[in-house]
Amino acid sequence: MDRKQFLTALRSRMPTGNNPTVYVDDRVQRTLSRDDCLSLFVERATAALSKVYLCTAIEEALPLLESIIGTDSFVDTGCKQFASTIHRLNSRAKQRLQSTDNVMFGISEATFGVALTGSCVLDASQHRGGTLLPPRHIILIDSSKIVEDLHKAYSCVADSLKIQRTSVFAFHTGPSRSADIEQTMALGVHGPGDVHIVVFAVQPSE
Amino acid sequence: MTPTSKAFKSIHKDELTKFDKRGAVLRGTTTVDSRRKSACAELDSDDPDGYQALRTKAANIKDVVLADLPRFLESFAENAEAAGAAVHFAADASDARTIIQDIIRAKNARVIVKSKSMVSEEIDLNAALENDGYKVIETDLGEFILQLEDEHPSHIVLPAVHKPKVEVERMFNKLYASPMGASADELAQTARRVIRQDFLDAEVGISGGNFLVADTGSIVIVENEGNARLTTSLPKCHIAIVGIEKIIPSINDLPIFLNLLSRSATGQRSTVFVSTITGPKATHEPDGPEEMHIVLVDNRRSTILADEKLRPILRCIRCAACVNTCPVYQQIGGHSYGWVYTGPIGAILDPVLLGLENAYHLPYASSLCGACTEVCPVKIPIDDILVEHRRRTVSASLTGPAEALAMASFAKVMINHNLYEAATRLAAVMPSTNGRTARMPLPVITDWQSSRDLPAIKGPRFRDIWKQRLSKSGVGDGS
Repeated sequence: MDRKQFLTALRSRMPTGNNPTVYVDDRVQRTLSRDDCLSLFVERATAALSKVYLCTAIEEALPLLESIIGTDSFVDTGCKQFASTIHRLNSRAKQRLQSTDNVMFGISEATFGVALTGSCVLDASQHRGGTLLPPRHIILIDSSKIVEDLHKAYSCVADSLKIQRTSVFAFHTGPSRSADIEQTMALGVHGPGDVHIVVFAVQPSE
Repeated sequence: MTPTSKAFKSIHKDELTKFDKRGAVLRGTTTVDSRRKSACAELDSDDPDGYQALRTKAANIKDVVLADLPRFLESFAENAEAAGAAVHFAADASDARTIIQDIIRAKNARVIVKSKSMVSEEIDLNAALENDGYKVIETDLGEFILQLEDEHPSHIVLPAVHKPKVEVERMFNKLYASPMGASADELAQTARRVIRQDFLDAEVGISGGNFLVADTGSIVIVENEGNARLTTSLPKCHIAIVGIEKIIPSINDLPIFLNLLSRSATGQRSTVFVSTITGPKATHEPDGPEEMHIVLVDNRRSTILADEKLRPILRCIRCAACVNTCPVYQQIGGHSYGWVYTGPIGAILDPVLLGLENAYHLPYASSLCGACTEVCPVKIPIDDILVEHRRRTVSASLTGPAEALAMASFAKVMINHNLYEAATRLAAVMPSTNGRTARMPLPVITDWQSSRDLPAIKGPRFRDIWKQRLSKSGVGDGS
């Protein structure tokens, strides 16, 4: 149906009389110290079945990633801040994403994290297929980018959208799961079933 | 799907005899309901507002939107278009189907992947697309299982809640040689393997949408499996089909609704994936759909909007908390309701979307205990609306003159002292069997008794005992 026609028809059906009061956001902002934010993030991400690792120095990252990946293949979905770390992961060449089941790991970089839900937020600068198709996912995040709650997180999304359109902000909270078969949790339905979050608690020097 | 709500009376009786299915529904709903309880209670410490205040805010925000819906829709459409999406308006089901069929035809598509969309069920989209010759795959695990058996979802959030695991084992064994006794994990892996190729082949992805954000033109999708992310990421063309009531004013309001939705629906602090999608892939981005269409569907929602008593129905965020907590749904299951929306929300929504004459039995599928209203995160007065539908049903003489007569007589008895006295004395001598009031072969009464079991009324009446006690103690009864 033509938009004008649709909206005119809708207007003719609109309720008249008292309109509800306009909603005013009178929320008290929650503020946590950097340490509290980090420990809440670790607690909640772990509760959502992510495996969380803390790196206090960039040198720790390489052996840690090597130990997670082992001899498997991986694809970098678009890491920027941690690009050189990924580059040094020389064991397996980066693979192009085709029938991606033959790539075991996607390695992504989160734009920010949410402590209260234990979520990592991936924006559209990350190759979407790479964050979803491989059975295992490693997400790298700078601890200074972890915000307290969803309110702060979406105000970051709002600010970012004002500067430049980003086609998707995807909040990832733990491994893909389903309880569609008699409420028994099955992991790795469609998305990655094994999620590792590497938190860099010190600003990397790179 | 073709509604069978008119045959509720016979269908629900049949459903009650399927004990495996009843067991699965009862276990599924009670598990999720108890998770909901603790997750919502946690909001009191997790959110500065607390659970109850968040419910009030969410209801208030929805009311603000509904009072000015055309303006919010216009602003959403402008912002979505500025982000590069095409926005379409569909007045009814056939309008929506035609819009989607036209888009797909122009794509020369062969394979279409779908993530969960109740609106697509509502407008019978799959049948239309299959008729056009496309391969249409439901990618949500529960919906996929149902599609294989040509069944329909029985629940808004847990589509296959009625399905015992052994049935899935049997089906996967037959179709994919998966072993009998396979674990839920193994069954899910089989589904993943089967559907993966379709994801890679599909030219079009069709999704629903949990929220439309007016000030950014974004659609928001919550899910746990990742199938909606894949559906909205891999195919070159993404079509989102969403009811017009899903709109919220601002992206800053989103946290309130996400907190309530995930906790009320599955008892999670957040679902595994929450996608905020604003337009198709931007040129500098590595992947994503090149084309995005948003189809906004009315399909009688404006009828609800125009009706003051029913309007709060449009606040619904489809969490299904009311469904999980409903003692009637837990017994009769979703298929009894005969259409897409089931449980208490279905019992108030279906009579409008299908027409009262086609679904008037549904508001009677309730004990009016009010549990649904208590758990609704957007404070829809579900039990009041159930009663309102019943009132309209009787006024329209849909239940026949007998119920209207019975209700009118009941009202007379309740407000007339002498009639009430006579009726209660009569009740005391009613025949009984095994401690229950005997079934009476009388018009209306037989039907009424068929779903109600009253204990036998025996012994002296309370008011007689009271009178006697008062006279013994020498105090007057005040009359």
